[in-house]
Amino acid sequence: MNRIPNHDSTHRSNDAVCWGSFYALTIVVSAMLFFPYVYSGSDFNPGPGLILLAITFLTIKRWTGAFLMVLCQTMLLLLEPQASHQQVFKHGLVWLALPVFLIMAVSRFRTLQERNPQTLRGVFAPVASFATNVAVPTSLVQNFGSAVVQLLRTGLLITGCSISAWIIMKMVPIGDADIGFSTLREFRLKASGYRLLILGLSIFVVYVLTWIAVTEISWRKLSPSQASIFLRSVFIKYYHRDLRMITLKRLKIRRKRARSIQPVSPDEFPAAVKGKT
Amino acid sequence: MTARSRWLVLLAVCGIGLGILRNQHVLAWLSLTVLLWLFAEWLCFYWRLYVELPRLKIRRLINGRSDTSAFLWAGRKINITVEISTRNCTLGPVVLIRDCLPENLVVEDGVCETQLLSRFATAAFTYEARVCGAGAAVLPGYRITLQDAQGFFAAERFVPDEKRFRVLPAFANVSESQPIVKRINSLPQHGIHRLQRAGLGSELLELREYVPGDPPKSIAWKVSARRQTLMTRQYESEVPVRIVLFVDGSISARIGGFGCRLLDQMTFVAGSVARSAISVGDPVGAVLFDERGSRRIAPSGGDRGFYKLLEALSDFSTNPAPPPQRLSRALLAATLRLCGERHPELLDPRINQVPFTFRPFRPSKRRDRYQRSLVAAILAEAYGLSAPQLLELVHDDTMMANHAQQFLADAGVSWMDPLVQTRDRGFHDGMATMELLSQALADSVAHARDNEVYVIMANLLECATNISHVLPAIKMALARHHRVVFIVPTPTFRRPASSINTDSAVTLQSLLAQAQDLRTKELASRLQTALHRLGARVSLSGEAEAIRLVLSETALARNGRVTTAGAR
Repeated sequence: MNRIPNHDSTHRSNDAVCWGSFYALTIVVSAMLFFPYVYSGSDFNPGPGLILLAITFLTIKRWTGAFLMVLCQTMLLLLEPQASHQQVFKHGLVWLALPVFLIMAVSRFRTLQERNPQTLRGVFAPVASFATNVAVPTSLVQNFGSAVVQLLRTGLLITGCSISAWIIMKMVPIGDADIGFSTLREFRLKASGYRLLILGLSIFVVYVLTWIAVTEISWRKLSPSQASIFLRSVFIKYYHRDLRMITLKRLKIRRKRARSIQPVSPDEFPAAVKGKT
Repeated sequence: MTARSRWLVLLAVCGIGLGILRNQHVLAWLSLTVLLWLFAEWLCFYWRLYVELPRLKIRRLINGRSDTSAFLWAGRKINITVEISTRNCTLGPVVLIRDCLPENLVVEDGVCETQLLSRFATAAFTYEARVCGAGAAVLPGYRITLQDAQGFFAAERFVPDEKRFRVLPAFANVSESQPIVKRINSLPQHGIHRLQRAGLGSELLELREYVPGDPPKSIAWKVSARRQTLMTRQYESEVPVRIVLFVDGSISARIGGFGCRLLDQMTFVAGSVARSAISVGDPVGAVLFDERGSRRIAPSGGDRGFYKLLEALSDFSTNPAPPPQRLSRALLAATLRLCGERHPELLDPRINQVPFTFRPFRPSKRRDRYQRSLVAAILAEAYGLSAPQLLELVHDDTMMANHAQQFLADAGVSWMDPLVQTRDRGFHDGMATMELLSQALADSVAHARDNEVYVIMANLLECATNISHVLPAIKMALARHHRVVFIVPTPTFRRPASSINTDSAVTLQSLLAQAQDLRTKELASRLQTALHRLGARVSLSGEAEAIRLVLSETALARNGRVTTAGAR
């Protein structure tokens, strides 16, 4: 009994502190790396600068991964040159890695924050403890260890995803309009439209295949009650019109019959009963 | 899929489109990476849901024991420990496990749930809960919320682990004050009392003149010689005193949360009186009456008899099927909430499919119809209804209301709004209670022997103005030389204050409490006047005073006196 760890609120808050700290660190690194891009040209461009400020300062309080995604995409849309396939954007890997890690960190942090709303206060606790030479709690150190392990695991997953994305993009005939057979000339497609079509189709095929596999597994794992409800509801869905008509008719007859049985008034009592009473 | 991931998917798809169309490779690459990452997380989540979650093993220990059925005591605290382990794997990262509690259990210390934010193999949590009222407590199982680390996907499951407990009523050990009438010469057998009426006991009651037919051995020769006339020794009677507890379980006594019902007051008094009476050897029986009929428990003594009585009271305190009522939005909402808590996997729209219809047109009504269809499917599954009956549930309000009420009652929901509407019940319930009581009293008198004490616990306050309906039955019981004591429970669980100072009330709550006290006091005084006139004793609420009153009446019945002052 004593060997079983008891997951208390301290554990939860420490975990959140780890992820919050990582998130804050990612924001700082992002700001440092992307700052030169804002002032790279001869003219000052206020748009990316404002977005960068928003990413740096306004995300810690409320914003979620979706907001960060929008901001990063907007920055790329504004800053990335429209290049051919060979001309890869300078520091493209950094532009890829940092936003994804940022989204991962903020999503994880928000998930922990939902569980414990007080986590935001403790984000800078480790920094404060280092600054004031106060010993960092052992549990916090352990949590940092587990958080790093989880971070590495997710990092590996994201790396795998980015490599897969790169492979998929390589499969798409970007930049070379005459690649493969003469589809473009045959169907009078625009090059960009053709690329989009191929990419969308590839993703769709992968998704459908996986979806079929997952649905098959989940169907086989259904509990008897789930299967029973599914069958009953599908049966009703198919024969809904007929069954509904029968049911409503039956209810109507039942109500009519109930209404026809009126309470007997004293005047309608048989004479014999009246005599007895 | 949560809103968080939906937005990301939408943005990623838009990003891919823009990146490809505008020839911005990094933008397309980033968006595609995010999309693939979400896809990978989805696969991992399904793996956890369908492969790892079924390996979860949860064990509940109540006061250190893992029995599937046992008995608990009302008003006492229990210690619940939940141990979680996985077989040959780990589960996580975000798992919320909650022990679903019935309304009869209230958490006093700790929380009945745990959040596991990283992968785990074993975990445990402990909390303390208080049992509110007598009846039954069913712990149905655990509700598990599974999430991925980033909160992109979430699923809820219910793991059944039913434990059914019989909750015995609480009782108090009230010390009995025995008036000493006479120094005793010989101790009677345990449970046999010296009734100060003529009988065949060993104690002398009185001397009287000889009457033809008296046994010759009872003639007091010395006294006869002194008085020059034949005198006969009259001995005391030695009889057991039987206590019969009448417990009212009508609708009005069952309405309210567990521990706050009038029935809980009555079972507390019944348990306390039984404990005290049985400890001095008096057999205690009961008549439990409600709308379903009455159940008679023959008087018995000893610990075995006491527990038999408590078990009967516990079964009686379990709420039966509630009285039918009209379907309301609140009733449907409560049923849907319970379905969401106990059967979250059955509310999945992929499993529980609702056919598309054009009508009703209004969005709010469409939503209501959709929710009703979901609930109907779950009720049909719970009560084994066919597909046409399921459709009937969707369209027939009466049928839906009955099944929803049954579902809530089976889950241990107390008789309160929306399960039972309490408005405008007072007068009719009072009349019904009086009829039931009269019937139960008449039956009991028919079965009774001499010298019984009837302790009537019924909600008679509401019918204080029409108490004449029950008076014939009381008169009959008194005419048969039984003692009758009334314990009338009060809504506030206490006696109304003797003097109510209306000036001191400043808040609305205190004003309402005072109004309630005034009303109770007025009704109680009417009731007391009517019943005192017949010779029955009345006490209010389930306090120690009421128990003492019953015990003092029992003491009087034991020695055959009429009042504590000594008149016979």
